[in-house]
Amino acid sequence: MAALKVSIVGASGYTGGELLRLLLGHPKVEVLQVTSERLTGKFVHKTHPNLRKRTDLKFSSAADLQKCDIVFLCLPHGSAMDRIEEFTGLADRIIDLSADFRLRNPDDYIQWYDRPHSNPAFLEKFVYGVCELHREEMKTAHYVSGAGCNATTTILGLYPLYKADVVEPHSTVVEVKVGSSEGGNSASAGSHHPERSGAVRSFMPAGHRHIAEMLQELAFGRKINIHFSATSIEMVRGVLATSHVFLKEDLQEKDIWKIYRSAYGGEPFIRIVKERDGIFRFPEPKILTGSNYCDIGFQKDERSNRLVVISALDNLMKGAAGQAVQALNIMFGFEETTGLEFPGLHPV
Amino acid sequence: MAVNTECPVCGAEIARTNDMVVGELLECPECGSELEVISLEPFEIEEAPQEEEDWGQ
Repeated sequence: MAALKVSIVGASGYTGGELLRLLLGHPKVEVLQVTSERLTGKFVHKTHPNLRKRTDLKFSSAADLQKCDIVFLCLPHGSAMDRIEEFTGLADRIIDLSADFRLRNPDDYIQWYDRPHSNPAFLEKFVYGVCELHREEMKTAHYVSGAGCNATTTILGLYPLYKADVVEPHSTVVEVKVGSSEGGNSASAGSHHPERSGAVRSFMPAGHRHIAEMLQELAFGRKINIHFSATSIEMVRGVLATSHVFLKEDLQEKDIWKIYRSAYGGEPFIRIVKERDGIFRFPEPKILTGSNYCDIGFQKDERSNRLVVISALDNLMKGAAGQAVQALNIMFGFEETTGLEFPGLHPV
Repeated sequence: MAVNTECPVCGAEIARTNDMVVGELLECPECGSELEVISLEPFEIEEAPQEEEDWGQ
């Protein structure tokens, strides 16, 4: 089979760069074009210096895009929904990494993104991009929407428990600690080094947009609520979600193990990390940098019905570009781990 | 014929091997718990005593 021809629209950002790194190493793929209006004509390694000597690609304008097998959209939120028909004419398959096609209900865009969706007919054509939840739909999908990084971390951590219907539906509290790359590559006063360095900053104690994805994916037809807060810390890549769920009945840790094993036993990128001793007893984003793993651990509070679930991943990988490449592999019938074999570094 | 039992911590399947002896320590491949072989006939294991780590002040 000839290599798939792929293009990336909006490849100058961190997610676009990470995606390009992965696709350049993917044995079944040829990267045809990468676009940036601001950087048209410039070598991509000027923007993504880790790719020097890996490619001599230059940024193109989206106006010059050629037809290809699949196009990845890494545009700012709100762009893809306005321009989607421009891209459906270019490729039979699309993976959009923005938030524009994540939510099934158009009204959710008004509630969570403060604007009506400009192309709601496309929402039902996109499959939500968490592969572990939607693998079968992806096999025949033409359009996949990458999931939010914080949403992915939280959903993967909690999915087995909600699926098994063992948690109280309105009491879950989630706190994520995130790295600075979640904020993208645009500078702001808040990212200025003297302000950002050493920060432990509660940037979204309530009302985070990714909650909409969590509610959509974890409800299983029930009415649920998730109380979610986000804090940025001294870290470039990574998300650590600490989720406090309250069990409906008195389950023991062995029962929880069985629930997670049943949901994720065959998953190539989910690892249960729960050790009694050692340094890495629970998931830690540091050692996941550059990998496509989501590590999940848990501990039951013996004095109550609270179960603490800890999940971690690299926001640019399993939380964005790695997840998108995993989806590509599923869509085209490739081995799911192709191009995603990097296990991370230790020490790092 | 393979004889298996369950890890008392996580419920993972633990297989008995021919050279196993009573008192032997083994590690659960799933949760990493240190387990001790208590009996071979029937095959029984339990969690080995652990030294507590002090992570707080």
